Amino acid sequence: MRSPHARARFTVGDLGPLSRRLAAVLTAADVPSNGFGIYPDIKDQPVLADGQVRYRGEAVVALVGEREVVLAIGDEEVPITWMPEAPVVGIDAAMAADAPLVQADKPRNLLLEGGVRRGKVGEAFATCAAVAEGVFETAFVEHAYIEPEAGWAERVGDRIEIHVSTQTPYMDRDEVAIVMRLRPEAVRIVPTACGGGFGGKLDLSVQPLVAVAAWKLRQPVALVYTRPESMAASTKRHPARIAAKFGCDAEGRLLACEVTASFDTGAYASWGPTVANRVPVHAMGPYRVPNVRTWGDAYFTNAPPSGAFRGFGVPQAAIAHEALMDELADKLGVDRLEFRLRNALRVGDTTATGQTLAHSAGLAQCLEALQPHWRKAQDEIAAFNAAGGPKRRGVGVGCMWYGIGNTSMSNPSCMRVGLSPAGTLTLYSGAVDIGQGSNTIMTQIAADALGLPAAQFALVAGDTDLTADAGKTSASRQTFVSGMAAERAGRDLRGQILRLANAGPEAVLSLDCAKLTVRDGGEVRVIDLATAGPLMGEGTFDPPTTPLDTDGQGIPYATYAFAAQIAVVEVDLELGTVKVLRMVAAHDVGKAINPTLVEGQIEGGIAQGLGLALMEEYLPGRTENLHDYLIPTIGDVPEVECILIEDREPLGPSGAKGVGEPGLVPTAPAILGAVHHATGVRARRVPLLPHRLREAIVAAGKGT
Amino acid sequence: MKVDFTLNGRSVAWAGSPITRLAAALRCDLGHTGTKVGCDAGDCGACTVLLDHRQVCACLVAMGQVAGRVVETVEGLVDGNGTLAALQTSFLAHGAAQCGICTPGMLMAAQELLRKTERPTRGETEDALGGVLCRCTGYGKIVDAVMNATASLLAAPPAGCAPGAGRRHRQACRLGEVRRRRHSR
Amino acid sequence: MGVYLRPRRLEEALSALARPSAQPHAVLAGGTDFYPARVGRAIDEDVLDISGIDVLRGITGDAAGWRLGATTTWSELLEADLPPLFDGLKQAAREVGGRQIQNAGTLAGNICNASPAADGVPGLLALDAEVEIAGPASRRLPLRQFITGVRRTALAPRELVVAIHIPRPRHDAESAFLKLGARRYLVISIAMAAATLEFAEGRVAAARVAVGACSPVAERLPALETALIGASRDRLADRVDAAQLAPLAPIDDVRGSASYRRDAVVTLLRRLLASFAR
Repeated sequence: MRSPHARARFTVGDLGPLSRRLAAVLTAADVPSNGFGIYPDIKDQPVLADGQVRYRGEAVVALVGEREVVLAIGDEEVPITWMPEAPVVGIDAAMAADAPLVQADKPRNLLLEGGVRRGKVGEAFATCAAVAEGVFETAFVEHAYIEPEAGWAERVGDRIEIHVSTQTPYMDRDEVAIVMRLRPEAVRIVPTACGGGFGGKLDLSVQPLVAVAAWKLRQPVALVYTRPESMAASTKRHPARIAAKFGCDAEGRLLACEVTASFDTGAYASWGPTVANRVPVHAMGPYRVPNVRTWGDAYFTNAPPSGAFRGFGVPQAAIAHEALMDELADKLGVDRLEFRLRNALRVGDTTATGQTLAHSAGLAQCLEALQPHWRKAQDEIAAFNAAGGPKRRGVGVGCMWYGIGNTSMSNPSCMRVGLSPAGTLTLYSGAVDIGQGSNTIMTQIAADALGLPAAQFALVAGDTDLTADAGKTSASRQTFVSGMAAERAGRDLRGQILRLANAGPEAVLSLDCAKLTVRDGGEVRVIDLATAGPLMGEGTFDPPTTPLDTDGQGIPYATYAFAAQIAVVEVDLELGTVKVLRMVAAHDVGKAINPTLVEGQIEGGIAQGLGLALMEEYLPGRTENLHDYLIPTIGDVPEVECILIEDREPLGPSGAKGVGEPGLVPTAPAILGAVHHATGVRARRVPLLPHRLREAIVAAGKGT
Repeated sequence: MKVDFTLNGRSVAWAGSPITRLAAALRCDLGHTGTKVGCDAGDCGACTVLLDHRQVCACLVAMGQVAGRVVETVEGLVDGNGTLAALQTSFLAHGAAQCGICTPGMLMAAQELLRKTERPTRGETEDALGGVLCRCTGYGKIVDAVMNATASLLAAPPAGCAPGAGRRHRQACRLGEVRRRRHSR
Repeated sequence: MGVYLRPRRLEEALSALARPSAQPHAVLAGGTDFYPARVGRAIDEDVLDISGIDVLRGITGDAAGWRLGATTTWSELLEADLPPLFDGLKQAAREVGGRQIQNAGTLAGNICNASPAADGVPGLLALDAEVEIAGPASRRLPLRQFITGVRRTALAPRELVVAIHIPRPRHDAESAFLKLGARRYLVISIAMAAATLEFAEGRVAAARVAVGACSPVAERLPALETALIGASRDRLADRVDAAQLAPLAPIDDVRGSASYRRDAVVTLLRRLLASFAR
């Protein structure tokens, strides 16, 4: 039973009558340690609310019993007395001097703030030939994975085993251990096939509830969120207000950048610190800017917790920086793509945090690959628009960069490859495949490193009892981090085999049942695994980073993905509707281990970026279903042409970086830039719903 | 209530409350968990099955309406030997499934279409699959897979190749090649 | 658990409805509104499933007009051999939800659910539809009187809609439908418009125009209809004027603002009427 109120105190009455119909009725008092959260020092979110609720949808009472009995109980039958209070809605209300506190220990409702400073921004602006600035706003966005949160738990002796749709089994294990006051080894997490995550399944959902219930009842307990429950209860993309200002010289070289990004982090901290830390590093865009002041802050409100959602704040920031690149280009009369090419970070450049990019910075290659498409689109569009009529077309370009892995924080991965005495070759991968294909590429990488075919591998994935910690499936890190660990594991096992066979590095391996054959030049050695095995190779990798100082100086990421996307749109000036006609996406992925899977991430990211730009806005209490909350359908996503650029990253497996989030980040900027090209309207708020665009067109005098 | 009906070509007897949703009966009582439930409200199409050869959301069908009728689910696409249908092979070859939760719904919607039209146009494919939401793929590879579901019989990926070969990779999958990729549909 | 009845004969259904009971029966046909209203909870109401009653299905025509059985699905409508008079309603059928909803959802279900954004209502209003009701007394009611407000109809507790009647127009008639939404499929209208025009010698002899999702119930636009009489089929869009939208009462909601709806409807109507040009 969840709170219908965004902010309220409550008391629970006599649960006796209800308890007699059910196996158990759980409240806050039943949770051994009633607090969880992503950060070790912020366990601010209760499993079950304790006397007060901070957002609509917060869990209050758990009804545990036979499915039909539980479903037959209405919310009104649970004896709760509510004392609703006026909620804090939006960051302006949160920042107000007399604002009620959402979290008692967070004065001013501030979660945290910080940023990057380099050079002298004020002086630099004074020398700029052109300056562009604007304030851009984004809303709550819902992950809308098609599989809602689901899982079940079973007590096995003194251990609790949880099968759950999750992106992060080891974090789940450790969090459940804290909640249950158990040693981590007493908790087993078995990830089920995950029907979509996008960052929304990085936080605890069903895990602590089924664990507490199964522990108490000593029988298996399952929980599947209904869709309205999933939408109300789960984390969201942070709404953002981004005030940005950029300046350049007469040749169009960027000189200064000032960005303040304020985020609505909702009722609980969740991934708020991650977003607020990542954005200042990225907010100047993938460009050389010698003078930078970027700042991020996050405020609590009585709204769903804002958490992790593909891009961690960078999609919002990119909307701002790309709009201003367009404005500066237009002011100077420079082609918008050319302007970006002039400023693109390249290998050898130093970023605003003082990091010199030694390798793998392929934005210029991406833009160059797009140039013919850009020119062709402009010609076609000019011809189309010349004909007049209520429809206008436009083309936009969006660029991005994205640091792979956690910001300035250790996020190691350990992978293992084993060969049993019976000749079974197994990859033990703790990396959860949430659809992006990590199961496939980890096998490819391990197979390549070991020197045996991928098809001979069995896979054990995700189970914390059987696999090592590969870190979370998030931050576009699995290919880079777990992939490198898998490569090292494969090489480790190969090394052991070559030593056993006394063979050299060029030896060719083959495996047939329990016989492992090693051919080295003319020599052939057969290893009988029944006597030699089991053999286990292990590899670990943790991307090298350094902490950032108070000016944001340091090495936040070991590598960055770069990309540029072009969007061609058609706007109906009279109705304000936007149809995206086609996208061309050029992504520097370092190395495409599996091109089809890389394209899948780009195409899927584009679909979510299109939704962010044009139709997705989560309104608590009003869009708790999939017909009021709109995600793109098959008829909304255009043809996408993918161009894969491979500027090799030496730290990555075969030179690979990551692409999961990069697919999404440039899309909304490209679409909004195209809308401006078509209509002269610069969108300052997303989603650009038809009524908003039409109002802007009319206000700009561009209506017919 | 007892409900006798045909499920993937076999006679099945089910008993329970007639207002039970077909999706729940398939998953919870009949061991057919291939049909997925995304919303229970007809908004997402993940639970799409064929009822008397027409695609419907199984979450919107009362068991009381199923007696004597023909139900087909994703489990029925494989043949008696467990060999995948050409449509399923086409999905694999095109990389049309990522997390897979919408895939059964997409397959059944496509099955209705392909029985009527062997080489559907892009528009026909979109109309047929328009009621199934996908959050992972951006739909492009799904459309490719359905439009080429019969042609793909000619281009099954070679054994041992990671799924990623695609219909344009008639040769064995080679890791380590730089490739410019173009989609034209 | 409530009582579930699935009669094969209309008389049995009506008897069940006539029996005294604590709560009215929930009527079930295609399930496309019934189940979405009951997500995550046990269904313990008494249910009257009318999907097994043969006399409620099928489309027949005679000199007077057409009878669309209550449980006719959108797909059945699309597949029926009907004259251009029904092109608009067929277009609405193509844009209801997705194919799965079209295969299961019924015409009567759509009008009985009476959402302000019900896809079938503007087209049916433009066809001068009449609702045939069975109950203690049989009666017919024009559709514009049948739907009385947001999710409210004139149907009494013991009554069932059994058919929708479409009168045969006097002259050659054509119809069209336009739906405005924020995405391509599975979309609830921001606004929609339907028109049926009867032509004599290339000019409009009769006009019925209705707009949906812009008021509690879809509304005919009599001022526009009057303005269209006598117009040449190639010059219809010019006849549209914002003042004719007076019957509408659009609201601000998640899909759009009231002022946008008023503005967009003018565009929709002009384009709708322009589509009749040859």
